[in-house]
Amino acid sequence: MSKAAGKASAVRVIAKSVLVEAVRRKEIYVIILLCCALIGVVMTLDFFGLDGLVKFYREVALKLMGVSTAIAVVLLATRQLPREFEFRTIYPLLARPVGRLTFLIGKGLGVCAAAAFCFGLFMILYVAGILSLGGDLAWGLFVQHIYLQMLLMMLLTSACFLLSLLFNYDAALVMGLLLYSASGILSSTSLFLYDLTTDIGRLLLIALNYLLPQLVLFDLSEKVLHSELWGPVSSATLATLTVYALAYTLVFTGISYRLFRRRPL
Amino acid sequence: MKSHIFWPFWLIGILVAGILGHRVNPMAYTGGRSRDDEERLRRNSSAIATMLGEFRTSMSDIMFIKTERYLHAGVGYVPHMAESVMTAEQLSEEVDEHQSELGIPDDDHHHDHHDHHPHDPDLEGFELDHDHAGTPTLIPAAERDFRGFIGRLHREVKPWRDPEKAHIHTDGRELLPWFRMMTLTDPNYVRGFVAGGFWLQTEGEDLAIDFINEGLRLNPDAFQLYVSRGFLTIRQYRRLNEADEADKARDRLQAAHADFSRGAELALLERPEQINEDGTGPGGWTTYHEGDAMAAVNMHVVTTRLLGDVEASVRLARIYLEHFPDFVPLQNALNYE
Repeated sequence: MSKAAGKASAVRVIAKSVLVEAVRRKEIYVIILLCCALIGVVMTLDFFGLDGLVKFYREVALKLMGVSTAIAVVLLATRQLPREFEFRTIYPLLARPVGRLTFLIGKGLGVCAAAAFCFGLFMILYVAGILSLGGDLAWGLFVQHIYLQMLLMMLLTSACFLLSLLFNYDAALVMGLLLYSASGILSSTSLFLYDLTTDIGRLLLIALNYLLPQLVLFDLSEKVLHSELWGPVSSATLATLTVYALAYTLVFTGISYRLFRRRPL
Repeated sequence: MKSHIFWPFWLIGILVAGILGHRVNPMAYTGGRSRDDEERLRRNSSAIATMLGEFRTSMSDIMFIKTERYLHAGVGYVPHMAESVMTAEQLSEEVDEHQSELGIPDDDHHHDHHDHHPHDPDLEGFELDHDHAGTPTLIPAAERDFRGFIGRLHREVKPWRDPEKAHIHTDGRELLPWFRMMTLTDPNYVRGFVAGGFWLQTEGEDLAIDFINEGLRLNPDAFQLYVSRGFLTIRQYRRLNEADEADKARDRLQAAHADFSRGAELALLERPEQINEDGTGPGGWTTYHEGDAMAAVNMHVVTTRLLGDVEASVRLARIYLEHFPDFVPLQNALNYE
């Protein structure tokens, strides 16, 4: 077996073990069940006895599903490395001919696979809900939304790995959740502050704009919600967003790798 | 400790939640909008009640903004539905625009600023509102956005439209769940009942009046709700009148008259003595309150005259002019003398 094939095999084994662990631990199911219970309540709401009001369901469902998947990703990703150190399971793994970068990539892909599993289940439920309510689905936009959400989960995974190497597990978890939840607020706040602040403040805002990943760019849910008017985004935009997500993921993974490599075992 | 030991606690928790859930009555809440100092003091004596109250009013405000977003097909504008267009009369006109778009015959309004047949094929079936063109969008246009390519991507992935262009207006039907939710969240959110009632009339006036009645049960002193119901009833009167159903039309006119009368009475009780030039006043009196108060007194005079009592209508106009000396419709009402 060539060296590259050996690494690919190792990545696959590590990723699979993360996915299996995520599925076995039942956290994903609990998140899905809680989310479904909330969405179920929304679906039973009676709005003046009128039929065909699907936007409210769409909005609540897409938001809850996106947030729930992100929470699952942050939980899983921030836990991966600290747990390996805590339970000393990293030693037998690294004693084999598995490089630390291979190990990180495998872990990252495993978390992304778990996110895809979770979001995939959600999307099946979402489509079933829309169809049962008699609503239409703009498939082009919908598929693009799923793709962008997967890019978001990949970016979030790499950011959480970095956080878990910089801080302890609890702090990384909180920082990961804050990064996800505050990204949109930071984006709109910076727009508001830019006109009010000094030149130094503006420089700081511009720097923040490029230093922090703008997670809000990976959310097409508002267009999906109002799909009667908005069509799919252009392929150029999708390509730019893909490069944008990959760039941050590579940078975060690169820094994580450096930190991980320096870490004494 | 084994996990199965916890199962009884789970079951008890679910049972208690079920019982408590069954007893929850969102409408039992007495909200935070009263201007009665004594009432406010009583309510504020409980910190938890205050916190929940503020939370609920904030939630209902957020939901109200959401309806504006839905109306504009997701495009986020800096809130521009100023309080003046949230008066019952303005809302009635706003809904007329949409009814006309939906093919429902309009009463007697002409709307030069609304283009129901836009030339852009992508906007076929949508109404264009030129009145608010120029209102800034929350995601700024390229020339005002410092974020470079990130700003461009943001405008691509979110519903966005050049702020200089006319606003797209969607069918208001999908707004209705938010009005239901905001009035459940905060049963004292009078503005939610008024606006929801007017949008609901596109589904049937009886449905709308039922909703306003629900608001009145919960807020019996809210004069805006009487004005709102009065306008809805006047629409029924107009339609019946055109259909030559005189008895039913007169019945509706009397009902509207009673509502405007009560609305005017409550409005004058609530209206502060000192009113600023822009219609605002102490105690949270807004241009929205002032607009509805003016609509109430004017429609009270008009319906009194329509019912045939011209003398009484002139007398009422004189009384109301003491409160609104510059209000032209009231001045004109004196000409019927």
